[in-house]
Amino acid sequence: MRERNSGGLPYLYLAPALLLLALLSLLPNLYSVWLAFTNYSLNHYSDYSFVGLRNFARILQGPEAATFGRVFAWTVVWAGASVLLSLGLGLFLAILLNNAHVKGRTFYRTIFILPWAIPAFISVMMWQGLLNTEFGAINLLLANLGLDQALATIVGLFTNEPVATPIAWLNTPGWSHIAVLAVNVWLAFPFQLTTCLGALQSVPSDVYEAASVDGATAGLQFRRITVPLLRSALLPVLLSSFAFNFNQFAAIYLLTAGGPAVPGSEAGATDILITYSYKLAFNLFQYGMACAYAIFIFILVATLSGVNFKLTGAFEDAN
Amino acid sequence: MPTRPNPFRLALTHLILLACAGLTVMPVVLVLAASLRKGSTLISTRLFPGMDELSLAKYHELLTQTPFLTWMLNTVIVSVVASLIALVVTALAGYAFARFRFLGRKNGLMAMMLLQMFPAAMAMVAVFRLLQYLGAATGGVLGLNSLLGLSLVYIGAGIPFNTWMIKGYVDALPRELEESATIDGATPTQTFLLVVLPLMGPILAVVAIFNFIAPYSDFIFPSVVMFEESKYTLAVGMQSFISGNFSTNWTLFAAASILGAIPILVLFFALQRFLVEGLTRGALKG
Amino acid sequence: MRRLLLLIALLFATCFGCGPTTGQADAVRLWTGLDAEYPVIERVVADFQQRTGIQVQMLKVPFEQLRNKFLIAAPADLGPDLVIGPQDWVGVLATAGQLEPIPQEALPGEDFVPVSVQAVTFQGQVYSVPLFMECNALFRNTRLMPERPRSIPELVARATALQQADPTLKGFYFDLQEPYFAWPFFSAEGAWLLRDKDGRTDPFDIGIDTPGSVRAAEFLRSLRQESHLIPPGASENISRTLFQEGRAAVIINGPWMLKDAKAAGVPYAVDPFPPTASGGQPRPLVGVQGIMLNRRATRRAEALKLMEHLASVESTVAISQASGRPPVRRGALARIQSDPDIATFAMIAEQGTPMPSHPAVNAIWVPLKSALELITTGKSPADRELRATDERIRQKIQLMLE
Repeated sequence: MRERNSGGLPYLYLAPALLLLALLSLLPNLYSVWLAFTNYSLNHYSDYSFVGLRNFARILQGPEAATFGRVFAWTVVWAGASVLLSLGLGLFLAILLNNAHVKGRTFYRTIFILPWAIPAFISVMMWQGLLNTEFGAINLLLANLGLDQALATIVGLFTNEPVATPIAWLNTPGWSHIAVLAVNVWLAFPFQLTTCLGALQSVPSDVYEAASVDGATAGLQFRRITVPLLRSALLPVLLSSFAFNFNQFAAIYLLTAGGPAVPGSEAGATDILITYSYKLAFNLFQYGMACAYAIFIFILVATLSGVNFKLTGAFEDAN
Repeated sequence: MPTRPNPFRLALTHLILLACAGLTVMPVVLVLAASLRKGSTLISTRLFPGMDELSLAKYHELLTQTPFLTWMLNTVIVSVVASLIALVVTALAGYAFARFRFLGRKNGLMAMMLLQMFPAAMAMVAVFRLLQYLGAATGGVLGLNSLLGLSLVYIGAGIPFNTWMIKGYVDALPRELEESATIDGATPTQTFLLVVLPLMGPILAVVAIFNFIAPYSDFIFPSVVMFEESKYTLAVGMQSFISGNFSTNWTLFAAASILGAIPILVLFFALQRFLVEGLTRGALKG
Repeated sequence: MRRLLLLIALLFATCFGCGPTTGQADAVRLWTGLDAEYPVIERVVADFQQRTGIQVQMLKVPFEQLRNKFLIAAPADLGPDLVIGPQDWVGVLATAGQLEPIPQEALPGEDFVPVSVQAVTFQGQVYSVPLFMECNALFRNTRLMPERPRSIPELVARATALQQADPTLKGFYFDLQEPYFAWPFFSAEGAWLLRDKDGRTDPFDIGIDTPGSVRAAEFLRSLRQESHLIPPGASENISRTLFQEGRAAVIINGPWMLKDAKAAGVPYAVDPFPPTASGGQPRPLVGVQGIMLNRRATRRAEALKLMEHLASVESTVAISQASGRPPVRRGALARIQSDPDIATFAMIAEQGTPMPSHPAVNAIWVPLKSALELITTGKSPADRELRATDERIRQKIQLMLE
């Protein structure tokens, strides 16, 4: 089985997927790549032409090039933290819910699916309201519980935020980073939870039973059985989620539009590369340049993912 | 995963689950509250609106003065078609990557992953033209202004990720059953259909949910490729409530969000069984 | 299982019936992003079909997607004959080569309010037949502030006093970081966005780095830092909610809020902006919604007839009453005088500054918004920030127009 070379059969199995991918993903993306080498823009809407590497040169030499380092660093933190936190929460809840002794699992599972079932557009607006400094329910709640000062003090230790209440969730750099991450975790954990619930089912429960009989604690079972078995199922999810969050336009754009503003730069504190390049190119109808940014971002995220692949050995697993 | 429930641990579990459920549900409750308000703004500066401020007027407006039900039906059609085709296509591909050895396997996996990372800056224009040609070639069945065409776009977007997930799941399945089937003389396709596919329930449920939900949140593609209001999906219709150049009707949008979430919850309920199937299977075996 | 298969079969059957309809291939096609006005526009169009026998196919597109959809569909010969949109689309769509100037016989006549025709003119050509206009004004809760303030300093003083007496109230509240709402104070000090020279917009004649704009920015900063009227986090949405809950005395908002304001049961008045401390008159930006003609329109003659019908006094009065946005023709304005709020908005709009139709204005909003945030939160001094912003905007426009 393991070494069987299956002749033409695998290609037959793959044909529908590859055909659809070539048509709906590869072709449009190749078109974007071609546009990156043209001056396609509002002023050259129907008469655009090949301009070589001009768009790329502008990205690297433009007045905003210096800001890219800061935005890139935050994008990596944003994507990495979003994935780890939402996966952590999703996996944790999935394990709790995978316990047959917990009553009301259907109830919990249904609640946890809600952030996913409600359009992000409206839930993010709700979060914006909840996180409002003056009127937001979060600050009201924290103040009533007497926790606002404590939270501000703790965060003040790790960021440059002045310890002040009510907390300016969306209006200072440090807090806005925390706020966008929290909202993104809220948006993303149902997805991770569902994936984990599905993946946990690939672990036969008799394995746990055998382990329990042998006296393994829950923590040991988790490390020795759950994690290794989930690795193969979850690694691709992790890496895909990283790439997805790297280009997660909507969450940032809807919540802060990249703000709060940072002096001396077009990029706000929560701008990630994709929202920033939108401001720099797409907003100005510089479509060719927008495509060049897309390629630039693609190279960055592909490189990072390649490093991740190497570090985590996802492909070694695959073999 | 203790075999005997420890009451303390069980209580702690419930406590944690309840706390998370509370945080999860908070914004959703606010959407619900907004949908019951009379005005059109989203946020109330009062935590709890008075009873006299509540009404079902927005639901009534939604069902009688907008094509809400048509949009909902369109969305369900696109979602069901997208899920079904995605299931077939990615189950085959995922299985092939997990169990077969062939030339280009590793590179194929990598290429799929890479393709998915490309930010679709101008993909809209290309997909529009593509659907235009497809429509001309298929007599309009798959082209612009066709729900089927729209489904295709969503399937295409999800293939790499879904294939990877299925591959990962099949990787973790024990191979013994397949090996004995092969020894018994089953062809590879028989092995796939009769032995592996029945075990793939949980992951197929996950993939079905992913593909079902995708069309719900996207309003950009359908608003560009559809040319009749009766072909819009829910997201597009709802978007027009709130993007009217400041004249935003958020409460109507909230009502539509609440009703629109119902099919997703129904599907989730229906697939719960598959998501927990493995556990019972294991227990029965034990 | 059988039921499931049946359902699937049914779904597919429904789907295969959904190719593009060709039945109305000879209809005039009209796209709009207007929502509140849509049912009335539908009625007006139905009336037109009945009267002329010309078929019309209408499509409502979410406002924020419409311009993009038109830009993609029009070159593929799938665009509509007519599209309704604001004048800041005019410059973009015309520069992309997708609009035809309004032909002589359909040009807006004498009875159109001058500001509306000025707004839809781009590089000397009229590209849109104006339907109605919109701009900001002051919404005042007459219970909290019975007297109309005679100047902005008076407004600020009374708002501050009100808030000191009752901290749960807001005296004067609006999103002061949003250029659209902040602009009246800039215009009062003589600032400009883009200026015309010899009938053409000079995209590099930007007036946000002037002593006047510094004064305006300082004033906004004082609202936040000294009078403590508008803390960070203020948004249009919150201002509307506060007003409707009777907790804000004065807010800045537009005619789209009239319907809600009436429904909320709060006693209110719509006031024009009073003069500022320097005696300048705040002039809000005026947006003009109008009908544009696709350069590749296939049913041009019929489309022009529909255009004329939609822009008629009769039609615009009906549409205006649905939305609160005042019409642009004198004849129509005379007939909406019975609604004092719409009449006030009409009066303010007539004296306002049209929002530039030139695409370069798209390069201004984002940097100006950042600048307003940095200045009003005290992170950056007004003069320095505005100078840097002006420079950044010029670079962007340079890039955009290449």
